[in-house]
Amino acid sequence: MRRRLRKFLLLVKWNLVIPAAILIGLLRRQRQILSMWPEGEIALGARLVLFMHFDSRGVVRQQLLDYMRDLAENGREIVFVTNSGKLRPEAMRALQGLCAAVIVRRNIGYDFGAWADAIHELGLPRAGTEEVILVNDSVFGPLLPLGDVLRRLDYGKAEIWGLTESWQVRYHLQSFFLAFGPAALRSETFAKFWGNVRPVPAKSYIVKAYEIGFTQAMVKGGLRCAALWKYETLIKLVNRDELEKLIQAEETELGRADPIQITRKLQVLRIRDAVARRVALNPTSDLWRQLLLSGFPFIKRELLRDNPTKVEDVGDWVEIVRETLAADPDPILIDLRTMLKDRAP
Amino acid sequence: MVAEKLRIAAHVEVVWGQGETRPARCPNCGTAGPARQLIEIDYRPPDAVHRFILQICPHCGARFADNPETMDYGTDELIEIGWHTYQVQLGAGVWPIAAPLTRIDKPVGARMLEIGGAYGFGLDFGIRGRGWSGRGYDPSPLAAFGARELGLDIAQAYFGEADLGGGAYDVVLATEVVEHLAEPPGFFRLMRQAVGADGILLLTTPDAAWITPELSAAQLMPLLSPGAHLVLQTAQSLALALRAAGFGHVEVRREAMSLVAYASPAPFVLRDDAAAGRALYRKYLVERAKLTAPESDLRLGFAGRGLFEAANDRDAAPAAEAWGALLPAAQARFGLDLETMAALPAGAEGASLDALARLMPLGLGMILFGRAMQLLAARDDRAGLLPLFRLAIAAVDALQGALAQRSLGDGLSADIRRVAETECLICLADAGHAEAAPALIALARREPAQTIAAWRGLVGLVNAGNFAGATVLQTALDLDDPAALPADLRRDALLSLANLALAPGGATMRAFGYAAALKPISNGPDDITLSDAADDIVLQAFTRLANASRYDEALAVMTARDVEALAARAAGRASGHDARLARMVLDLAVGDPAEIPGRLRGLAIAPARREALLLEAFIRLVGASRYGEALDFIREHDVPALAARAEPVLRQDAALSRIVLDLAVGDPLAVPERLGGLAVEPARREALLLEAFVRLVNASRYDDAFGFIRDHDVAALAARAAGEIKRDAGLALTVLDLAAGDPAEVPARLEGLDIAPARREALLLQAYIRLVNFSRFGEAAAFAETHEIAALAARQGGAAGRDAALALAVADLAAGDPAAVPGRIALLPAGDERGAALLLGAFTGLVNAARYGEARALAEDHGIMPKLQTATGAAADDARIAAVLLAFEQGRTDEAVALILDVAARAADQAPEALDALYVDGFVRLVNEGRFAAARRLSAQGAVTRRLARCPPALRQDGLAAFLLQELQPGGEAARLPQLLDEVAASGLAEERVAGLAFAAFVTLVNGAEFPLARRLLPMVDPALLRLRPPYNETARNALFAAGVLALQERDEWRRSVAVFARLRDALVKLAPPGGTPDPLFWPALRGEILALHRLDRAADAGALLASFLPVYAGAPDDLREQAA
Repeated sequence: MRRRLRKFLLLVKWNLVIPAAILIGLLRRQRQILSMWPEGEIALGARLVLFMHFDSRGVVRQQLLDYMRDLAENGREIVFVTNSGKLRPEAMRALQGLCAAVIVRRNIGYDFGAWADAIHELGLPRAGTEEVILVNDSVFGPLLPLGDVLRRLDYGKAEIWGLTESWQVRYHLQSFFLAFGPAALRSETFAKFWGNVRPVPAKSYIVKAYEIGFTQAMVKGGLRCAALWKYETLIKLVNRDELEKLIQAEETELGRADPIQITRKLQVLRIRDAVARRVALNPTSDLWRQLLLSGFPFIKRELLRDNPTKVEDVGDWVEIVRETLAADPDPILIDLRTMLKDRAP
Repeated sequence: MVAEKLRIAAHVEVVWGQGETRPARCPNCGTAGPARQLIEIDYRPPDAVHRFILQICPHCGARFADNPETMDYGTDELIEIGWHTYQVQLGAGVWPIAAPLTRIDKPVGARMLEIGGAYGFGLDFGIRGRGWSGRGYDPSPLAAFGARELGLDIAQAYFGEADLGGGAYDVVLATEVVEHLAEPPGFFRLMRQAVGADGILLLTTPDAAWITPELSAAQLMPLLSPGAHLVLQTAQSLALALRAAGFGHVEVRREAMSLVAYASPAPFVLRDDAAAGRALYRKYLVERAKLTAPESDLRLGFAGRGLFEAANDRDAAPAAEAWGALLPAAQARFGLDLETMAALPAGAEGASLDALARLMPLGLGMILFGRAMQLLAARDDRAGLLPLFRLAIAAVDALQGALAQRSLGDGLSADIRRVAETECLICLADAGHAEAAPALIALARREPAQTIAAWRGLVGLVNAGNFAGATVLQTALDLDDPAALPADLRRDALLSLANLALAPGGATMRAFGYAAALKPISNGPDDITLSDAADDIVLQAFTRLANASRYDEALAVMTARDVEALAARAAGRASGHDARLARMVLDLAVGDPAEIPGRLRGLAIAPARREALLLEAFIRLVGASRYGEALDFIREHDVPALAARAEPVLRQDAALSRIVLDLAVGDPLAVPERLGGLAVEPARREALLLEAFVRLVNASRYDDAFGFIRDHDVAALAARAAGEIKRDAGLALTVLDLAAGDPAEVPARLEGLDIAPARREALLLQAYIRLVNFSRFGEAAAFAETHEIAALAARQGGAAGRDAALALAVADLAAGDPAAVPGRIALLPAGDERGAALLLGAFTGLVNAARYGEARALAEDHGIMPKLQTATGAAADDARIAAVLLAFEQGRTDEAVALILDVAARAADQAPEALDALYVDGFVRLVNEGRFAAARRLSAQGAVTRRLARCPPALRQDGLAAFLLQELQPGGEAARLPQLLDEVAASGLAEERVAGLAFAAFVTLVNGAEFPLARRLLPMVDPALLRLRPPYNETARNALFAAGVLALQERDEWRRSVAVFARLRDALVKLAPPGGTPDPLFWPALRGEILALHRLDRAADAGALLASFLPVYAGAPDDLREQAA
């Protein structure tokens, strides 16, 4: 009964609501930029990061500034695009010390609307543009130096790189970090895709049409897309040895009673269950531990905030960050204070 | 001179003779010749005109009318006009007739003849009053009336020779007859015949001597009686005439305005017992009244007269009987109630005689007057008798009015009216009426004889309490000496005068005279009452004087009149009681207050009053500065309890006295509390507070004085004060400031103080010295500048000057310029220990002020370093420490250490605190200079460790850090590092420095492969490592590298090792541009990372890393190159 109802609601959503939203997206102005810094012609280097941001108060977290600083120290120019519609003065001052440009736009069109506006506004790719990395603020980190990540972006092997890849719905690179090499930037597919991005007011549509549809479109356009942390490799980390270790830990009274231990085992079982059934997992959620142990420098904010897929073993993330990565979890903990509702970090 | 016509009655005018004479023949003695005219009378009744001239016989002195028209006494006219009624009720002067008769010594049964007796009252008295028998002759119809009414044998006829046949009479009476006769001698001869050989003739007639211009009209008129009186006798003329008629023995008496003549052929003796006569007369009247019908004229006449006479004689019984007889008579005949009547019957005023006789008794005036006098005698309320007297006057006036219509008047009524009027005034005086005094004054001035009435008025006014009126009366009439008054009145007058003198505003001193005058009136020593009254006056006068603060007079009186003895005698009386109290007032005012308790003993007095007097005595004792006695008094009489119960004002005075006592001999601190509940005017309160403060200071109770200042704003009080107390308070504040208070305020205190300049300067110097002694150097500096203390000190010289110079030097050392000290102490004698100490202090001060060059110069100039070898004391100790510091600061560490060791050896067990710090400081310096061997010498045998605990926190931290660094050196004790690090962390050293030290220790341990020890530091190192952000300093890099190495030692930590090495390597990459030579740690870090990756089976990652960096940076180690290959 409930399933039938859900099916009906989905039917309504995709046949009535989404088309209406698309219509709105078409009717809306494509550009939603309110202001740009610096004024006038903006000189840009060869390697750019379009850093998308949203905060209803116009605040920019310190961790994001650290993220951008690491990118900058690795030779990237940052174009900061915020959907907040405004920026607090102190945020603006900090950004001006780090960024090549700051674009403030209305909160319309989500991440892809912002990136599309920036690409159009800045006239990307320009003649000298060699790399454009699309980044958003949906992660905590970097917890490890970004230099190693950036050095691994080999555009000889793929024109487009993501950090992680997902098989959910359709294969796609997860959009929190997308890097485009010179070939990709100058492809017709790239231009066409970004020329068609509309500020549709429906997140489901954005995800389906742009986040998922983007990889599909690129692949169809003949561009190679790859992820630095491959799904397969991650899955393999959750092998029988791993399970064996957890079962061994249960030999002690404490091991059996410790909920951390229990949840870790549950998550391992869940992953292996998915593997067994070929169910697609979300790497940044379900495989967060494996990612971190493999040198992945981020934790998805969504995981610690909402944990929408109900990942079991997220309870010891602080310990992993501190002990294994020798990284400071305090900035994340500080952010979580303003984010979490009725939940402990 | 024109003779003046005077109207003396409605129809009668007179002109007094001016000495003119006319020839005439005296009808009395027969002498002829010029006779002087006395008076001319113009008598014009409605129906006639008569003129008479009275002449004076130059021989016998009789006055005789020139026109002897004889009145016809036989007509009925008198009846018609109501004369008889008048006569019976009032007009007949029975007493003038009866009185002379009472003197005649004739037995009961004697024969009596009355000639011209009209009604026959004389005869009636003789018969009813004396028991005689007889008959009467009178031609007037009244005689018939009298005969009928009185029941007498009276012939209505003239007596003539034909009537002599009745035989000789023992008593012959002819009252008011002879003046009517034109030829008196004939009548006298006839009488000689009627009188027996032993008989006696009694005549009464007006006394012509009274007829003078001075006599009032009312009195003159009945004397003259124009047309009726033909020959008026004088005593002389009558005696002559009687002798001439054959009476061998004649006695003429002048009584009032009449002549009473007794004549007999034989010698006779008169009984002159007036009182007996009066008693007889009164008895007669009353008894006679009883015999009459109630409504008859006789009843009214006799009872009326009886009342009048008895009342005047204060004979109560007959008066009461008479009144009893009158009441029914008035009721029966007129319907009047004499007891209650308040006004005359309507129409009485202006009525004719007969009309009046129908309305009321004609003698109503006399009756009412008599009644009033009767009541007065019964000691009734005099003031209440005023209406009765006034009604009597109205009745008299009505009668006189009726008589006046016939040009007649009634002498008795006139007298009654005069007396009644006076009595009215006295009534008013007794009631205290304001109008009494002026009226009495007017009366006495008009009729001096009435001064006695004024005296009575005075008594009345005083008794009524109208002292003002009495004083007016007394002053106007100069009523001061009552010696001439009758005894009773004199006594009353003296008492009244004394009362006046004792009254407020009275001449108190005169009271003593009145008291003295009272004594003789008393009936000898047994008359206690009056004697007591006199004593009372003396006592009261004394009391007044004392109470009026006339102490000198009171004291004089007390001695002169032995007041204390009098008061003792009068112990039971108010005057005695008051005098004893007054004596106490004198004690309090001008005597000895200490006497009060004794005087109070045995005195019956209200407790409140007694207590008030005791309190007063206490207050006076304090006021007289007899503090010791006052303190005794407080103890003996429980003054606080007395004060608590006293009236507010007295309570307040007592409290103030208590305060004065506190101030004088007690505790001035008690003053504020005692002032607490007192309603004292602010200025006085403040003065007392200031006084208390001054006393505290004068008693050197400085702490208390300060407490006082804290509780009371003494400065403000002093500012508001004035005069001596202001000055005293100012001085006290100054003294206090100097002694124990704030010396900075001394100059302000000195402002406006009248004080000698030298003393002012001394105070300033002392203040300055104290400021310095209090280490208030900032203020001292300003003070020294403002008041030129240096110059003052030089000027003053002596001990004060030297002390000030020393203070200046001390101030220089503490807050000024130590370099100035040598100049300051130049004045001190050589070898002065204080000077030497100050010099050392200057050295220390310069060092402490980091003026090392100057310090060095000073030391060299004054040979300080050699002196320090032997000098003792705190200044020397400080200087030695300073020398250490100086050596340190000037880089002479070895010298410093040597000095430190010297000081340490010198101090042995009691090393100064500063040495501990220096010792540790020296140690720290040596360590920091990397002179570890020297440092080890200092720290040997726990010499540094022992001192660390006594060092200031910062130095202690430095010391611990130095220890740590020392142990980090080759040959150091690695095992101590964790514990030392814990101590450093616990010492409160800044987190970064702790982290730095921890990193250093950590790195040392890891480098020394002391992994377990290094791991013990992780709890302290790890958090710091986590917080590290690139770019990393050298310490951080070394620490990160060491952390990577340490993590590499444990399988579980290989991933951590990778992460740590990666962080370090990434940071180093960012510092070095591609193509250059990276940081020396870069390749080791990369090596560590690669090693760890390999151990984690991440060979691909390791290979990728090598591939990334080998081409980029120069100087790659061979092993890495080989590995890549």
